Amino acid sequence: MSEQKWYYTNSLDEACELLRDHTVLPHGGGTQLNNIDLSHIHGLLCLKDLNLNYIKQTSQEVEIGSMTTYADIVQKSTKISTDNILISALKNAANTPLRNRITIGGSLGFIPQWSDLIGPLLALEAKILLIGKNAGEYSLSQFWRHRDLLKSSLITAVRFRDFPHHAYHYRDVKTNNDMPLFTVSTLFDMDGERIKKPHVIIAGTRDRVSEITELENYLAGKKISELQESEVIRRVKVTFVGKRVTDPDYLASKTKIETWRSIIKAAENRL
Amino acid sequence: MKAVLKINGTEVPVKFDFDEHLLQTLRNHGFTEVKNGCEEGECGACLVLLNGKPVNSCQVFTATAIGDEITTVKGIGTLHQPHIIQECFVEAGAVQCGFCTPGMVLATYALLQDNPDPSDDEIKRALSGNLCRCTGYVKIIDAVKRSARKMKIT
Amino acid sequence: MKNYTIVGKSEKKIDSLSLATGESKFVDDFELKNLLHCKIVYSPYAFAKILDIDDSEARAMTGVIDVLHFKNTKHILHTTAGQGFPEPSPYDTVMFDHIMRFAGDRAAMIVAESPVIAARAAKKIFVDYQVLQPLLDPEIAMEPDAPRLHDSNRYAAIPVKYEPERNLAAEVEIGFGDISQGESEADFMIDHTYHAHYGSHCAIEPHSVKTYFDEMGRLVIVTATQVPFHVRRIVSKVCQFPLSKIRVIKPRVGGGFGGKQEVFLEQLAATVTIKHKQPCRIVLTRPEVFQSSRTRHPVRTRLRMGVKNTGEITFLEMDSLLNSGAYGTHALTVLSNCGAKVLPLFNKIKNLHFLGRSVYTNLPVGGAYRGYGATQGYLAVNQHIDIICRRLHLDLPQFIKDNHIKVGETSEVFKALGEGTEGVTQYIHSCGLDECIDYCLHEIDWYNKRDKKIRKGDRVRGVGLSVAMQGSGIPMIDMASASMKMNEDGSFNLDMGATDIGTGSDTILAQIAAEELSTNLDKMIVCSSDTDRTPFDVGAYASSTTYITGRAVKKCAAKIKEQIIQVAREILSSSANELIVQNSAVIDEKQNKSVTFSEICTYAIYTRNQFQIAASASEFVEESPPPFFASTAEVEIDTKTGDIKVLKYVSAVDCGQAINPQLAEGQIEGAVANGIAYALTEQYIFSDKGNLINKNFKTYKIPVAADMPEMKTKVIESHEKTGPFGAKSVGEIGINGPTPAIANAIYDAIGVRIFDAPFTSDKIYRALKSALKL
Repeated sequence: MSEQKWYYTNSLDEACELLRDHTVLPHGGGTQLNNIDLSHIHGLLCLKDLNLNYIKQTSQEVEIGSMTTYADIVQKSTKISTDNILISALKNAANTPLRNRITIGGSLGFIPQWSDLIGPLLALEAKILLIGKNAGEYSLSQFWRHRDLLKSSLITAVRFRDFPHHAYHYRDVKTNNDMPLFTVSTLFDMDGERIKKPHVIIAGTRDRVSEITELENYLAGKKISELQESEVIRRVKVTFVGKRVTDPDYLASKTKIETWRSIIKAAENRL
Repeated sequence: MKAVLKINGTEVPVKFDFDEHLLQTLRNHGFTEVKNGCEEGECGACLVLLNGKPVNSCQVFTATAIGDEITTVKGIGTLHQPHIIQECFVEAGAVQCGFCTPGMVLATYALLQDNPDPSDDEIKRALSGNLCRCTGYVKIIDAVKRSARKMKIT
Repeated sequence: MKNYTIVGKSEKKIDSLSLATGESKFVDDFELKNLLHCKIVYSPYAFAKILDIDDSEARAMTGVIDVLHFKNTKHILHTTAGQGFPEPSPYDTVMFDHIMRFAGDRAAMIVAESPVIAARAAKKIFVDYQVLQPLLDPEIAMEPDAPRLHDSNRYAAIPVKYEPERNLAAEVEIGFGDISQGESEADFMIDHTYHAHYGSHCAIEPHSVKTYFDEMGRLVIVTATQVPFHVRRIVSKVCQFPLSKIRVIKPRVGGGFGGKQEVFLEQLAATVTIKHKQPCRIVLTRPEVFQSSRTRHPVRTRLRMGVKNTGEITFLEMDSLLNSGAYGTHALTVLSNCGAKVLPLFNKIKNLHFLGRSVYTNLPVGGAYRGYGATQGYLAVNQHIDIICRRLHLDLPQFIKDNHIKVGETSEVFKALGEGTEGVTQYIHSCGLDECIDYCLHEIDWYNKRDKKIRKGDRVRGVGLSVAMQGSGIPMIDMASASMKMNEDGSFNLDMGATDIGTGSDTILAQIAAEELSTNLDKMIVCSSDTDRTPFDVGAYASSTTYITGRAVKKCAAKIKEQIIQVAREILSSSANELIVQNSAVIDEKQNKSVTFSEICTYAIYTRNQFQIAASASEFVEESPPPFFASTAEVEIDTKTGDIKVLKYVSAVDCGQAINPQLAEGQIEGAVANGIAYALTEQYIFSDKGNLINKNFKTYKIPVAADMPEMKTKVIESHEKTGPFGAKSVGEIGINGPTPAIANAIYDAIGVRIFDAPFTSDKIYRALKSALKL
């Protein structure tokens, strides 16, 4: 094997060219590559000179460059409506120095993803922008279903509609620097008193991320005062793998309670 | 690999491996004030400022720090010319074993640059990447508050 | 209270600016040329026999110098417990064995020119394991058909009960009075079983050691240790290398908490340096620290008490089963302290029986950990008395005040039970426990919150109280010493074997010397610890340094003072009884003349009858005056999810005269923070096969600043007449408080008791559910 090498470029085209070699991995600056065996790769592509650290707002849409760190997303949040669900989630993700390294693009490129990122992005119906072989705009679910989209391609940005919404992001942690066992991201619009376009995403489950469609259908069109706790709880059917850290049945019960609470809190939280 | 790193305002020629982390490179070149507590980005003992922002040097590939401004705790103050924050840590009794202190001092420095008058909550949040097992954080939080007060005066 | 000028003042910790500016050197900060790096290869199996090791591929790699394992190293039975000689822990360990007794036991060690090569070579060691059925449950360890961990050639170095053929690492039994008498007098009995769990010290500096030969061919060991003199002795024995040729240097140490009272890496590095005549470095990774260093011993405590309706306790029976893990380090002494540091607190009990057993299992190795058995014992006792008081509708604080040991009193337990062997009779000279309790009640607003179950939505609050005592060193065993010399500017070198591991002992011992000599703290030049340069000290454990080394330092300084006065008398032509020492000078009030320390030492060195003002002194103590501690916790529990939050934690300690109140507070705050996390979030999680799953800070959760509740800490001073300037210890005691105080607060909030620590939200949730069904 030839000597392992770092590649530096400020050209997106050149970056794409380099990534045609599948043994060259892009490196955003985050932590994912730090703790894995790199002996089988030929090189790493440093993305920091590609000018992908930005937040752009065009009419109703927000675009976040893939090299934007969690800390920058939070700090530059004036460009997004304050306390957008994504910001309130990322504010508490990981810890202070890690938030200065973890990038939104890097987080999307690896599995398992930060549940603090995925829940809010799904709730915001975010799109992922790729360049390279599979250039285009993809929904998150498309992106997950086709992991090979990333082959010879590079995530350049995440895009979502920024609109005033009701939202709440719950993270289940033991300490303030813990990785959540699960998160519940709740987001909806209000049409007068009635819930419009609800999203309830639970991350950290057996399926990693679950959109609770049955519950969303129940919520749609209802007034907050019409909601019944038992009806909500009944519709939250998630399972957890045998996590020794915490009993999976307990987590399943807890998600029900926290989902109900999240809806109530979201209703109070007009963001 | 060979490169020149900007460390505490000085250009330092360094040698490092392809997948080496900044923590190791710094320590290999005499910057032993950067401590190794876990190598997994959790303890903050290896915290340095990268272009003014606190990062865990164990989570930064050296190859990506070329051209960046790297600041260790000695870059903000020394034994003979300590920074106010370092003096405040001493006065508050916030230094027990001292292994976490360089990281704590730098995290405090970064916080107070952005926010000269932080609330208790903001202090705690800013220090959420730094573990200390000796103090229970009581006197560390006190040291940060003292630092903020003194830095406003001077 | 006595009037002191330096003692009792929160002087700045003398090494703190050096630490805060990154100047101070820890073990791994010392630069050595031609350093060899090691990587230990661990057993992935909880119990296995190594049939063969193939190291040929590793040895063939460029940069690999050696591979150590059972086939090429000495098999000298020893204990890794850094205790006094002969150690009370069994000799059941060799450097490399062919039996692997826990997942994380060491099978081999790579020695290479770089850490990267060592790590790579570690993957090229092929060990042929015969996997055995592991023993993972301490409850069945002594059963006849349980797997046996240790051969019968293992032995105890002191005459104590040790039966490896039954997996019994230690046994202690004491009693007085008559339990059946106590049973017949009781109106009712309370009988419960409590579990204290594994815990990791989590000193932020991992275990580190460097060894090299100096220019005289002596082996230098620079190590992160609490016990430099024990390191020297144990390495000499295990490596069969003359003690006179070993020098142990303790630089700054990044926290210990008991974890570095263990000598398990120094002999490996020493072996490499002796064999290859090259410097060697071993620094553990964080997962290695979690898995393969030492832990808090889990203890199952069954506690039975007979109680009269008046509240009188007619008997107490304590049965402690300690899980020692794969080796018996501190198995006897931690076990003893489950009783010895706990039972004397309630000294009115006439009929008492304590049976403790430490058993081997194929799980991580227990060791010394702040609190040292007292933590595990108080977890049970404090909950038990809460249960009794609730049953009788008694006021818990008053019950404690009525029943705890007082000044002038003793307990039969002191005599019956020491650390491993018989103890020493002692009487209490100082006790501020009642004031500690009152402070904690006041600060938590006890009487407006206890039994009130204050609710806010789904959340309900409760308060809990706990009390504790500890010791100040091990009486009749621990010895410490100091030596001093004076310099001509009036400064003093203070050399001590006492081991500052971040506690601030260098500072408070310098304060003691400065106080005795009526001089300033900055006149003290402290050196600790270097086995070549500093006199013997057992080391930093058993809450001994302030009390025992403090006494040695005070005694040494007093000797220096005598010499100073003698020289001053010569200079001033005074008679002795007219001289007083004040402000770094000796004053003859009658003649209205004075001479400064600087002048005195200059005279002694250069002028007439020249000699070096110097002295050394050691202290050996016959008692171990206990500090006392009370704490209250307020918790809030989410009754739907079981989530728990400690809102406020109040602590008060009677440590005698605090030499440095700020440092004393810091000891309590740190211990309490560790204790709260031990109660709530810290736990070892094992696979079915006994492998530790959560061996890093991502998954073993210790708190960050944002997790801390509101903390109130008060040092309540008393005067211990046997202590230096009235001081007792403070290092360990605080950690005994949180687990039982929080357990009692949980009960206060939700009316359910959780007997198994830690009190995680899923356990509270299940407890709530089961309570609702009843």
